Amino acid sequence: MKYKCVVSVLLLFSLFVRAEDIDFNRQIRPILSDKCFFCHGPDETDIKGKLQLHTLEAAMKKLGKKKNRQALIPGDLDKSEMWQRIITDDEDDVMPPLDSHKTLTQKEKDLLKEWIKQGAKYDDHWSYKPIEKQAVSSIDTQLKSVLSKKGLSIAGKAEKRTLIRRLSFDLRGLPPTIQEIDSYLKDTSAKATEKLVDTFLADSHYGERMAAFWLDLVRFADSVGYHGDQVQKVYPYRDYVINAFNKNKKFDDFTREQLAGDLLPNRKDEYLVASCYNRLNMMTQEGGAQPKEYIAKYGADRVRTTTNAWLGSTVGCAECHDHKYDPFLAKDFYAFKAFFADVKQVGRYGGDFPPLAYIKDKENYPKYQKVKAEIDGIKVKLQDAEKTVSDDVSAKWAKEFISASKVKTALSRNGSDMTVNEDQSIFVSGKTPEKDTYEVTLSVDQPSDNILLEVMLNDQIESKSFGQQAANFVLSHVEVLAAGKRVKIKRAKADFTQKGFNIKDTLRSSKDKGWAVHGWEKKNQVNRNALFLLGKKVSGEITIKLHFNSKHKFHQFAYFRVSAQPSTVNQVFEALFKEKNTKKAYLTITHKDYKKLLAKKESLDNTAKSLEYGRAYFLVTESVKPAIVRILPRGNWMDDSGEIVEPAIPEFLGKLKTEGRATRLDLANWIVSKDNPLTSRVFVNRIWALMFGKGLAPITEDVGSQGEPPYYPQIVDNLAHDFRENWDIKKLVKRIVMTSAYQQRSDVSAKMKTEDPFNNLLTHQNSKRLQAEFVRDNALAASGLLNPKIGGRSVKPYQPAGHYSQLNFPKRKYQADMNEKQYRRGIYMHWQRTYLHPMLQAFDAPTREEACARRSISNTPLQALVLLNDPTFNEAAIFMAEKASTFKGDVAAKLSVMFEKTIARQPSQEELSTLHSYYQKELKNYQDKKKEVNDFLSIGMHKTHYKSAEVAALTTVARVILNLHESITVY
Amino acid sequence: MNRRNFIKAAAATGATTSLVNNVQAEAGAKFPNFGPKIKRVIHLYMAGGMSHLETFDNKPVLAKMHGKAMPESFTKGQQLAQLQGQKLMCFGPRFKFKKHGQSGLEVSEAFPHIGSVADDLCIIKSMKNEQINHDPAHTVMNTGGILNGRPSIGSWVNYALGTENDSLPGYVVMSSEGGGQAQPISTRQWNNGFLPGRFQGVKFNSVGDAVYYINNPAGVSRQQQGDMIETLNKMNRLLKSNRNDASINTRMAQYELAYRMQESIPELSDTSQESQTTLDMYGCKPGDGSFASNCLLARRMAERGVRYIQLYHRGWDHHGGLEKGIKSAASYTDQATAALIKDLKQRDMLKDTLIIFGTEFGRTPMSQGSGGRDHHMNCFSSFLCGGGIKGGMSYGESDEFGYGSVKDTVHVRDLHATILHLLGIDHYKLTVRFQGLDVRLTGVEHAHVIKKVLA
Repeated sequence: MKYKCVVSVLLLFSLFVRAEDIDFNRQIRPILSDKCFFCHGPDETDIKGKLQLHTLEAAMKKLGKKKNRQALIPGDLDKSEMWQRIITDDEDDVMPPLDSHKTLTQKEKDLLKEWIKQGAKYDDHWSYKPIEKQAVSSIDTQLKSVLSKKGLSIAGKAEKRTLIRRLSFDLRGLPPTIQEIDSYLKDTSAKATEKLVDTFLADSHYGERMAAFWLDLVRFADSVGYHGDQVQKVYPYRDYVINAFNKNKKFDDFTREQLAGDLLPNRKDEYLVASCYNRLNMMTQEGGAQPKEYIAKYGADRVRTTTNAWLGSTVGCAECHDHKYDPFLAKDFYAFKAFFADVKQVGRYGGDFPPLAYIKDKENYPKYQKVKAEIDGIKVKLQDAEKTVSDDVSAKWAKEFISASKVKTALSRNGSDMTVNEDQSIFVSGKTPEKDTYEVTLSVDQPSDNILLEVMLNDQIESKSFGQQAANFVLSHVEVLAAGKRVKIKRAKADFTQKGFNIKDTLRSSKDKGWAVHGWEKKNQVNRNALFLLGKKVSGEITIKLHFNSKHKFHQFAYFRVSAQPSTVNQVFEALFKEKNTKKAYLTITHKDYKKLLAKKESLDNTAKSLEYGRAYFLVTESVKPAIVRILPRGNWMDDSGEIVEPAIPEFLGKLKTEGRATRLDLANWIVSKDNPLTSRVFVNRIWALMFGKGLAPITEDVGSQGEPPYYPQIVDNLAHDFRENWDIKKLVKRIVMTSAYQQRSDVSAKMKTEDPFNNLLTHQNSKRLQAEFVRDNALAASGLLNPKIGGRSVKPYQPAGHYSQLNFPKRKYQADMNEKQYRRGIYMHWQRTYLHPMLQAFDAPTREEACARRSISNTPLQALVLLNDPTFNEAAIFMAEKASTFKGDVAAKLSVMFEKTIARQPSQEELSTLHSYYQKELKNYQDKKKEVNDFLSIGMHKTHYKSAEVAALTTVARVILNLHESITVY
Repeated sequence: MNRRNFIKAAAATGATTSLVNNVQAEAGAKFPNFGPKIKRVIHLYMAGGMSHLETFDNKPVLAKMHGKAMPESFTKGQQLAQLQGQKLMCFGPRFKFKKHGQSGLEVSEAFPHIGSVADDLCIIKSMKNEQINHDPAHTVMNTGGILNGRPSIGSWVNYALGTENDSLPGYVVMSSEGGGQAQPISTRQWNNGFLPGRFQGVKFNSVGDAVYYINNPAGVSRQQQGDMIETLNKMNRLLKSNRNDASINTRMAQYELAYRMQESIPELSDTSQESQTTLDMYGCKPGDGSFASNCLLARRMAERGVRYIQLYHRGWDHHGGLEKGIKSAASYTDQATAALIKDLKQRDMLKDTLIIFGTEFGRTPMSQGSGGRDHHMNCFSSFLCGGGIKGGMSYGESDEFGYGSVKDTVHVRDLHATILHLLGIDHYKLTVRFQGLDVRLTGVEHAHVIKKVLA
């Protein structure tokens, strides 16, 4: 726990540094910040007793009516009221006050006393000071010189096997292969480790490892996070990040491209993909969401993320008030937010969360090209066939199929006039009632089982569309009677239906439903056909009742024809309905290949669609006219009374020299400029944390005064100074891992465990629990199942059924990838913000709803359950065992290889004999248990060929190995 | 080796010593700060926004105003959800209210069973949230604020007090099947935030395996799983003998705990041995995943020492078809809620259990569409029941339309402070350092323990 850290460190330094000068930043500022600044800090609006303690000047201000009291007089404990108030017994006067629930420990009091005695020297906060070039360039020298003063030293160099495994995980997130281990062991040259480091840095898996860290900071996820947590299209951004690290893109470019890729000159696809960064905030589609409120949320989210990711600062705290501990003002928060005011967005989204852009999808584009070529080929064939038929022929053909039954009577029940024309069409005129029923009686000679309804247009119709009054119609119900008895209509089809007004609805009487055709739209004012398939053949007198009972009044059509048709018409009309084109319909029936070709084309069209036409879409930043940004009093988005602010960097860090309104590009340029003391320090500290499991300043998300100051500020500044000379990330990483500090042993003596339990002094390396993704990668890689492909779309490994059952809008079902994607690395796992994969969650992966600089590391029974029972880990065990079973050599050799592949070392005699006797026991267990063996070895999609008791027993051992504490720990 | 031998063997080698630490609270001996009134909390969470106007808050004036315009003095400048920009009309309550028990407490006819235990209830009619949409409103209800990454109350409580059962998680969440339109609920709602991972709420599934990965792989028996863990921990102990790394001990203890959970969780979830009388009282069939089944499971968890239990029932989001919707939601929840109260009482466990029957927000006095109500955060109702709570009373008042709270407003943070108080925790003292701040569940605004509802 952090609180404990602070106390123990103070304790530590009080033991070690007592005789030396007090260091304000390391020893005093944390006390003042924690115990005093809430009431006596930088927040101007909330000062008690007019006293501020964050600068010497403020602390020495003369107070009281007579201006004769001072909180602090350097060197004078008696006259420093601050000290007197700390030691007083008076409950009303004592500081911190009782109701603050804060108290000073004896050690803290001692430190404050010593500090005042020594002259109360203030120092600028370490991370806000300019970065100085260090006199000593070697990190090891810096470290050792501090340690030697304390009579301490760093530990010896780690064994080669330990070191290669450490480097492999730290630089690639994967275990070393046995070949890599062997060649490293063989290489006895002085440069062996450096060569290894260079190899690992050049490995494409390096980019994945580094991306895993960066994606947490920018809260990269596959879903939007709020409410329905719908999927968003972002994977090209992940590829961008992986490639950027692999190509060793300079960190300043990396910064500019993400924050302002859309604003850079020489616009490139790569820059646009990078600009997806500005769109990775959570978003909502919730119906009741107030756009304005969510715009405020999105903006605040960007401030929190950007200031955390690049500045390691908690500017987010200033959303409601000036920062209590650091010099960030509420105004700074909103001015920072204003940089992003030009990002095109809406508060409440629909659809795909626009704007989107696309690039070629590496995987799908070639596939799509193939499909497209096929489609083009078919198109030619189709056109060739169409050329063989003239329009007249097909039109005549279509007509011939229509048999003309005679209309005997036609009447409107509510009194419209009906005229029957020679072609048996019927024109409706005169009075138009609200509702009506048309009754048409036909005399039918041929036994017929289809009724064709043609709804036609005519320039004598008042609406110039379908109805005399309304442009559209709603045919609510259709009945057919033969010899006075109802004939069942089996099915109804139409060549066009308006959404929600299906032709099928005419089979039942209803006021709400019926058949309609968007008749008010110009493009839809064309003749429409419907066909009713009867349950039996009819002939003689047939009555058709067309009911217009809809709540949509006056929605009757005015010009139509009904006819009885033989069975053959069905096929023709199906073709007609489907193709909407008589020629195509004609060909589907008369041409021998045409229908097949059409079907093939349809299926290819669908494939092309599912391949998204070879495109990889992503959320993109589009710059529009900046929205007005106001200071929101107490963060209240409904309060418009606040001052309007322009984009600006936090005031105490300086001022941008731009003409006109500053842009995101200006912000990016400042972030990586030498005027900014934070970025470089924050970044090197985080890379250090990746390699040591802990930052030099341990709270990597906060280098402000409530964070923990670094134990070796000179090392931070050494690295930070050099890093920003060229922003070369690989160089920085190499520099760190090539130190003796990094390469030292990680075991700790009992003495140091007691004296420096958090290893702040770095007298040994730290052991590190693998992060969630690498726990998975380790099992897959060690077993040989890993699919090492770099980049591409997110993948879906096995996940317990029903995990998404609580998701809605829309409801979804998780479909695991049952192909080679199953074995991709964890970094590619589909990241559902509100329902993270249970394995990732168990191993402390953040949901990425919020920027995360430092994952917590827990040790829970759920982790044990995952490693024990998740099919991914069991399948890996099976695969590992199956492979081992084919190795030459005895059982012990097989067990040793499995062990070495996972942990990069050979088992000790005792370990081996433990595994061996366990193997024997399980072998006995599975002997003659065909079903159990089969069940066990059938886990996962991989087909196991050797389903024997031996393989089952080896699998149980592989399970033990993959579950070892050491398997998921880097030493 | 049977389970007992396994544990014994583990103990003999010292592997279980760290387990003791594991079940203890992270916060150490600081809590409780004073004598706790209760040992556990069961939160029955009517998710979606249960209308107070149809359940616990009788508003005859609103009934009279039905169909008339809502007075603008109430709504002007106020935040609305889906009613933005629409004409605001009063919508009279859809159910009649009835006085119950000796206390004469009013409960609507939608809840006849809950009415039957009215004398045990303390109905709060002046609840207030600060978020008007489901997702952020839930987040406030669970974590005290809308910032992501904050722990939920169940995590806080376990962090402070630890668990009473070393074979079960201390914080369990369930969400029932059935009940119509269901708003999604994020896992964020039971997240441990910045607290250690073991304080995370564990979601028990209503159907299927109660907990993910609780079953052995196919073809592996319990005996074999035990042997496997025994071998594993033997190997881990060999590692420990070479390394001064306490996390190895913790790891071993977690495997032992996992192994015990593999037995205790299926045992807990199996309600087939419950008597028919009990099943009938709750109105459930074993394994049906219903709210009623979950209530019965909650009792079983309470018996086994689970500290914080949350049962979500979704299906209270009645933008339309309110009357039918409430009837339906009540048909899933009313009988089981009353049954849980009665069952705990007859087992003499109600006295050290707090039951909260609540929701994330209420619904507007104005109609939405022809028969619904919109989200409403200004005022809603919940009830408390059980240890340390005065029964048969109501607390707080809303105005005559049920629009705003006019007396004894209970903000979510006040509810949190009160829950912690009943558990013996001073909410000001339950803090954890995060991002440089001493963060509290109850936030930076002042929160008040609702003294008047305490017995």
